[in-house]
Amino acid sequence: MKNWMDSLKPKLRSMQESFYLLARNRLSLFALILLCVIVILALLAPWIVPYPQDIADEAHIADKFLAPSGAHWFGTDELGRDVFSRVVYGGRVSLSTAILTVGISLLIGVPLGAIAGTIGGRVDNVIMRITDIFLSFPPLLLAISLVAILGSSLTNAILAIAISWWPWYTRLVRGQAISIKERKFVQAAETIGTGKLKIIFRHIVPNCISPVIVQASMDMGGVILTVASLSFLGLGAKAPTPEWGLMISTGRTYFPDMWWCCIFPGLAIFITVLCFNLLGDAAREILDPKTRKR
Amino acid sequence: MAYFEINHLLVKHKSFEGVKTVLDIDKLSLEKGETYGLVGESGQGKTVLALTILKLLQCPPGIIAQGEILLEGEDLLKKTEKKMQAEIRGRRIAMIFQDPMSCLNPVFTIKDCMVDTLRQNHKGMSKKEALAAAVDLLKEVKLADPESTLVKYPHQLSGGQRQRVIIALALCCGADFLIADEPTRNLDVTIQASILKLLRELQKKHHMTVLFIANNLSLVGAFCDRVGILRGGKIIEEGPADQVVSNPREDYTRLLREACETKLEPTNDSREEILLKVEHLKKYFDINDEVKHIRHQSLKAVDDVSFDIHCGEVLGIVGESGCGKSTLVNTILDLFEPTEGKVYFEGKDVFQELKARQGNAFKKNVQIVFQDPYWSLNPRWLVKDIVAEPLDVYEKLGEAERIRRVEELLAMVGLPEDACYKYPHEFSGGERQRIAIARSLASNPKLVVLDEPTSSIDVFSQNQILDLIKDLKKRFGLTNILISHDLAVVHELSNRIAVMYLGKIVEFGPAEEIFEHPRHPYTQALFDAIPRIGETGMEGIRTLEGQIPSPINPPSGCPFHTRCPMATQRCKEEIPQETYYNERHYVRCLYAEQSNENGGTIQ
Repeated sequence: MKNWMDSLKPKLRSMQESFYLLARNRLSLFALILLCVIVILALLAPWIVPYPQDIADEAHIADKFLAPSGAHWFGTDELGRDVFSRVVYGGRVSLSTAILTVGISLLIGVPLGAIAGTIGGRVDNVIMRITDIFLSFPPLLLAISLVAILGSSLTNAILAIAISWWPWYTRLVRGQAISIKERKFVQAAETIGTGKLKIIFRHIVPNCISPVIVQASMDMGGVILTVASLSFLGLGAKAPTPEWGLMISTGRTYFPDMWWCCIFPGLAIFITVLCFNLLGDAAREILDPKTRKR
Repeated sequence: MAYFEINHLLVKHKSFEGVKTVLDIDKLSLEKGETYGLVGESGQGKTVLALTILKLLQCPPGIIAQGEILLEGEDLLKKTEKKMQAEIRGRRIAMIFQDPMSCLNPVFTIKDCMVDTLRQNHKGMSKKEALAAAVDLLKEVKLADPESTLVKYPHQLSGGQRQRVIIALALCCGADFLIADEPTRNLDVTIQASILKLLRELQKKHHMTVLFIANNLSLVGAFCDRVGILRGGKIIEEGPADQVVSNPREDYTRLLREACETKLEPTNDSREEILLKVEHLKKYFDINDEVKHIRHQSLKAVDDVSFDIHCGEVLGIVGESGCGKSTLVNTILDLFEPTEGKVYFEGKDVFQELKARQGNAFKKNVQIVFQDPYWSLNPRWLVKDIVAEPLDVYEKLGEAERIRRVEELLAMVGLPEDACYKYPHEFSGGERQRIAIARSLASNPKLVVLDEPTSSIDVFSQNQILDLIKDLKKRFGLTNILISHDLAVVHELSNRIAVMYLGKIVEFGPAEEIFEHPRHPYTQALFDAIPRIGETGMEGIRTLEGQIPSPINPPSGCPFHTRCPMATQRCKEEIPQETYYNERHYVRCLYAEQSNENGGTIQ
C-alpha cells in the first residue's frame, strides 16, 4: 500500500506541473473548463434536462415549432420535442462515439506502429503497405462505403470510422518509434537482455505517446464531425436518437424559418470541436517541446 | 568607465515551483581587449547571462527584474528589440553558441548562410563581393580549402569545422565583443586546442573583447586574463586568471580546481585469468549512397582489432571521436553485427552462443554505462524501475524484495532512498550517471564497459563519478573497459591503454609506460593538446592540425601519415606492423623500431 502511494506521488506532481503549463494559456484553460462543462452536462443529462421524455419518439404535435422561450430555451422541433433537452442529451451520444472511435483506432494503430518502427525490415514493410492501402481512400468515403456494406447504425458508424482512422496513428507512432529506438536507453535495455516485447511496449510506446495524445485530442473533434456527417447523410444514428448531425439533417427542411432546429445542434458541434482542437494545441504545448529534458 | 559593464543585474525565472532568482550580479566589468572567463557548473546561470546580454532571454518564463548592462555607456536593457537587432547583435556583440551541431541551419549551405549574413549587414554589397568576403573569412578561421567548404551543408562538416564556420559568422559583421559560450564543449581535446588557439589569434588581430564561458577551470586559466566564478547566479570570486587558479580564495573555487587535477592512481587488481578475448574483430559498414555515387564500399569502423582483458583489470581505450572506439565495444556487446572476428568471454565464443540463443550468461555478465545520462535513462520510468530492469530480466523478485535491492543499489552509488520514486529529469547529470551505474551493477556483472562516462557531465561531478567507479570496482572485483577521448580520465583509472586511430589500435601497453613515454606520435599529440592546471597562456598547448581522414578511403600506408609531424615518403607506402617495444607494449609506427634501437623516444 505504501509503495503504491509512493509511486503515485511523482505522477501527481507531473500532473500538477502539466496543469500549471496549461493554465498559463488562458484560451486553453477556457477550452478545458468548457469541455469539462460539456462532459458533465452529457454525463448528467438524464437527470438535469427539463424534458427527459422528449429523448424518445414521443410527439406533442400541439407544441411543434415553438420559438425559443423560457419554457423551451432552444425551442421545439417538428414533433414538439424540446431542442435543449435533445442537444444536451446529444452530447452523450457524440462524446461516447468519439471516445470509442478514437479508442479503437488507438488500440489498433499504436501497437502496429510501434512494432513496425522497432522491428523494421519485412514486418515494417507488410504493416506499412497495409496502412498505405487504407490511407489511399478518402476517409469519409471509406467510412460511407463500409457503413453501406455493414448496414447503417451508430455502432457500424463507429466501426467504420475507426477502420478508416487507425492508419494515421500507425504512421505517427512508427516515425516516433524509429527515432526512439536509437536512444541509448533502448540500447541499454538490449545489453541488459530485456525481451523485445517489453522493449516495444514499456520503453518505446510510452515515449511515443506525447504526439499521439496531441493528435488524438484533435481527432476527437474530427470524429465528432465525421459521425455527425454520417448521421446527416442518414448513415449513422437512427431517429429518434438525439444525435447532433441527425438533428441538423431533419431540421434543415425547415430552415431558415425554424432556424433553432438546426442552429443549436450546429453550435453544439462547433463548440465541442473547437474545444477539442484548442485542447490539442494546449497538449502540444505541454508535451511536445521537450520541456522535461532537464 | 569600462568598455562593458553590468551593474546590479537581477534576473528571475518563473516556473511551476515559483519565482527563483537565477542571476544576481552586483558588478562585472570588462576593459577593451580583455579576455574574461566565467566559470561554473551547469545550472549556475552562465548561459542565462549570455542570453540576457543579447536580450535573447525568453521572457516569460524569464524576468529581468532590475539592473543595467552598459556597452560603452549605452544601456542595452533599455534598447528596443528592433534596435538590438539592427545595432547590437552581430554588429557590436557576437556570440558563439555551445553546440556547433545544432546552430547552423541544416537546409542552407555555408555559402547561403554567410553571404546572406554579410549582405544584410553591409548594405549595398554585391553578391560577388560578399562571396569574396566569405572566402576571406573562412581563410581567416583557417579552414583548409574555403572554396569547397562554401558549397557544403553543415552536416558534411565535422564538429571542429562547424565551430570554425560559426566563428567566421561571428566575425562577419565586425563585432568587437565576443561571447563564447562553452565553444569547445563536446569537441575532442585535439580540436579544442586548435579552436582556442584560433580564438586567441583572432582576438589579437581584431582587438576583440571576449567573454569566455566554460565549466573547466584549467581551460579558462590557460585562455583568459581574468576569471570570475559563478555560483547560484552570483559571482563569488574574481581576479587575475593565474591568481584565481593557483591561489583560490573560496572553497568552491578550490573544489573546481581540484576537479581539474588528476589525483587518483589506478590500482592494479588484475589477475592472471583472461576474462575477455577479442580476436581480429572487424566491423565494416556497407555504404551504398546513390546520390554520391558510392557503391559497395565499406566504412572500416573497426579494422582487425585484437586484445585481451584480464580479470580485475581496467583497459582504457582512447582516441578522437570517429576513431571507432564506441563501435568496437558496441560490436563486442552485440549491438552491431560483427563483420569478422571472434570474441571469447570466459573461454566461450560469444557470437556463437548468441546465435544459438544461449547468450544470457554473457548479457548478464557484461553491462555498459553510456556517455550521455540524459538519453540513457527512459524518461518515462521511475528510478526504481530503471534500476530494477536487469533484476526483472534475471531474477523474478517480489515487490518488497525488489524495492529492497533497488535501495541497496542506490545506496551503493550514493543516492538517497527517496530517489526511487522520482523521474530521471529531476536529477542532475552526475546523479543520473549514478543511476545508470546502479543499473549496470544490478545483475552482478563481471565486466562493465564505461563509454565516456564523464564527458557529458560537469567537471565537478566528473571526479566524484570516477571515484565511485574506482570504489565499486574494488568492492566487486569488477573488470572495466573505459572509453574516453580524455587522457586525464583514462589516466586515473586504467591499468593498460589502447590508443585507436581510424579503426586500428596504434599503441597498446601498460598505462604508466604510455603516460611516461608515449611512443606513437599520435599518442604524443593527444597528450600535448590538454591544457594543464596552473599553466597560463596558450604556449604549453600544442595542436594536431588537420582532420581525421575518412574511414571510407583511409590514407595509404600508415593511416596517420596525413597529420603526423614526422611523416616521410616511406609512411605513405608501407603499412606499419606491430612493433613490440617490450612484450606488453606495442606500437604501430614505422619509426618505432629505430627509436627502440636508439633507446629513446621517436623524436
